[in-house]
Amino acid sequence: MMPFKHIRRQSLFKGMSSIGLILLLFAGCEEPGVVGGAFIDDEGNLVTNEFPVKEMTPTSSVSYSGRLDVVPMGHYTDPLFGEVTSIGLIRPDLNSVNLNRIDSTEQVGLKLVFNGTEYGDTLSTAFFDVYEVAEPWRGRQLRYGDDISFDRNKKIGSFSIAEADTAVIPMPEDWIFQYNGFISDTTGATDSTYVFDMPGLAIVPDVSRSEKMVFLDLGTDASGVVESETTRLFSEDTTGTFQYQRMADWGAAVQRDPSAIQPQTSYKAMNTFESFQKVDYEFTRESLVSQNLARVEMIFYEDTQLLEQSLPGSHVRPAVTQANIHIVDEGDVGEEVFAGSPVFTASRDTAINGFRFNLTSTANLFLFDTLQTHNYYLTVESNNGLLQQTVLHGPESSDESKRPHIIVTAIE
Amino acid sequence: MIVGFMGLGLMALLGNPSTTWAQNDDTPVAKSGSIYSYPGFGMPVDVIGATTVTTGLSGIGMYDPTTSNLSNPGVWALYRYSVGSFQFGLTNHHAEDSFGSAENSLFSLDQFHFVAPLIKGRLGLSVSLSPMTRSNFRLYQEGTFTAGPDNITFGIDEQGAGGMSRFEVGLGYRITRGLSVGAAIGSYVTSLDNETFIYFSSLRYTPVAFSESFRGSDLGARFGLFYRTQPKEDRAYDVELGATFQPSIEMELERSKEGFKSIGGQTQLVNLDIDQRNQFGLIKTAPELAVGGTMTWNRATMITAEWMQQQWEEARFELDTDEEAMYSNRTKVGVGVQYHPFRRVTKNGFFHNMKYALGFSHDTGHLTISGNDIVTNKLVLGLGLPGRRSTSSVDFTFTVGSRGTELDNLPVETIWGVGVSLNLAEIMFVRPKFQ
Repeated sequence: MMPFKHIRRQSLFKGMSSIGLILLLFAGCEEPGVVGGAFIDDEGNLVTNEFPVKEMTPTSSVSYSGRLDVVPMGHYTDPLFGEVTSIGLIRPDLNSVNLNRIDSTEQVGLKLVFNGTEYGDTLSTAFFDVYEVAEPWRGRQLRYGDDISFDRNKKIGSFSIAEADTAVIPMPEDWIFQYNGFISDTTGATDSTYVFDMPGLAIVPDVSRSEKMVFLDLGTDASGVVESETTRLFSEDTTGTFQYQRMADWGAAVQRDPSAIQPQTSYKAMNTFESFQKVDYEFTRESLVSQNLARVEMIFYEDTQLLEQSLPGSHVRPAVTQANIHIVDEGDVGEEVFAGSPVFTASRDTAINGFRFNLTSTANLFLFDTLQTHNYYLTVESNNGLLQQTVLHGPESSDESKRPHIIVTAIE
Repeated sequence: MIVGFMGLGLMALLGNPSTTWAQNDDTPVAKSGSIYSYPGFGMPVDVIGATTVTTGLSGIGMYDPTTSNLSNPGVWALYRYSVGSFQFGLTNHHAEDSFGSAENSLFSLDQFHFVAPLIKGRLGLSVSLSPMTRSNFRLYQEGTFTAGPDNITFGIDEQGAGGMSRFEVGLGYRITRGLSVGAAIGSYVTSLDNETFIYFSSLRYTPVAFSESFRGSDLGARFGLFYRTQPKEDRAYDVELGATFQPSIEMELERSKEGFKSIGGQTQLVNLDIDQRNQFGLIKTAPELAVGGTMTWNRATMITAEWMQQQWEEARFELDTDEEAMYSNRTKVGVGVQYHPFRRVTKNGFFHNMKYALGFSHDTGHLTISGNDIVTNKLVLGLGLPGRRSTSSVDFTFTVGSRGTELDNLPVETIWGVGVSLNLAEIMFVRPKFQ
């Protein structure tokens, strides 16, 4: 081995090591970019597959029409969904905090607040007469199609709704007198007699003059708390002080004439459950392409042509913004879809005028676990009192692109 | 210091065999290499003997008693004392094509090799750990697809790490004064891990993440032949010639694919290959024949030339026949020169105590894409520091090169790297008094 100067060798080694380390650190940064597209074809591994929904079976149920979010009232002849007449039913409460015995000097009125939604001819005026109901009723027991009688001899008043969203009806003295008898009773046994002796008020549309439905807002929020500016019975004393009484019960007696258009290859979906659909679809290993799913969705398209053509220019229907799929394997289907929670929900996609359900998790259940056979029911919105209705293309639709189908996106 | 450093390196290498075998590096940076390592079971990694590491050549036709030579089993017979080497380095790849550019860096533990003479100068034992192929890449692609009413843009971010490694034991035997042969048997292990993330432009689509693993192992062998002229007083040069042959290796590769999926509302890690389609596939490496020679003048100047042929058209990758179809026969030629002035000039001096080297190689590559060979050209500059009290040394290499072609929108990679080879000699059989 050659002799050499020790100090120089060490310095050189350190120098070289330092340079190497600096180079390593400098080169250690990465900036992955888009390269290699000409020979790497991962896109080919992303595969889509479409297969149809096998069948839609119309189903109907007589659901509840009382104690819902809103009270439909009015009359409208819908060429597609039939002539609808709805009588609003309300019964003022007895024991609200602010309204004590009504003094004879006080002015008493019924203030009706509507939510602004219209169903029918928006340019028309809806006319209503308010009568005393002639038979006892309970909101929780009212169903669509129920007919509640009222006493035409006990008319409280009349009002009309054009564009305004409130109406005030002065209450007659004899009604106030009778009502006073119940709120001044301190025996605590007035509730049942009040329901029988003073069943409430029927807000009856003038069918001959009305081509519009409006929706009474009871003003309860999700927690059930009554908002201050809402439908109420109020009194005003001579000093200008207001007191109010909320509604103890409410509902609607809705009658629908079924003589309307019956689409051949489209299906009606109504939030009243007068019409909804049992949906049959089936996953197979082949239809799902692979076990590496990116998305599986089921799409239903609205028959917008039928919906639009069946309405004159100034007429509207309450919008349907959400569709649901319920699983009901046993029990009463109508009760289950009314009270149960949907397993899938889909907001209306305005780009396609349809509803897109994400079934990916369920498809994975089929692939990796045991997916039991279920009965699936397609509904729209919830039974909230708004008459929300739409028509969906079915598997036999003449427009093949609008038939309900399932789209699978998978990585092979 | 060199010995200590090397010892630590060996401990790190052997103490974490899984890292070595899988060629994976979980550090957040410096773990991606050439994008052309994407197809199949990776890009071939050539054995670079420590003898010629400073030129970037394999060293098939060169023997140096102070540095190990992993490339030719025939050389192992000649060592008179034990030698070992440990190589590592960092390579930067800047790739560009008409779609974009990418910057990737790969820190790699390249090889460990140890040779011990069982009969000095006649029979030698070799133990080594080295990569056969390496797949370290990160790529990002974008595209669109139509799903029902939607046109969705997606991005695929795919990272891969791994390759084929071998743990090899071999013997070299000198038949005559100038001719020696060698053979080695190795355990070849393939371990590839790819992770893929797919993003979608539509919020309806949740990102998809999954991983693929490929595992396989088998035994393989390789053979070497080495000849050198005997030194003569009146001759200023010596000649060394070598040849190696490696038959192809076949192994069954098992693929597993896993990912997190929402199943009935709960997120679970599931096997995405439960139907066992494509779960097993054969891979076959390319048989390799290589020859090389070195001419040495005055003991200090060495010129090396090499030629290697790998028959990649015989290689198989059953799990993806599209990628297999890219394989094409590979030819690599190289030439290098080394100058070790301290061997000839007996004077003290800073620059006389170093090794100098320069090498160039041209590689037609193992891939032909759209009719284009993926050619690699490399220029390597080497600098070596022999130890003060022993024949051990540390060699540094600086590499620049390019890979690929601009034709057909293929990416061109600019390569540069730094490497270190720790060469250990005289640690077991030679007592200090002999030095």
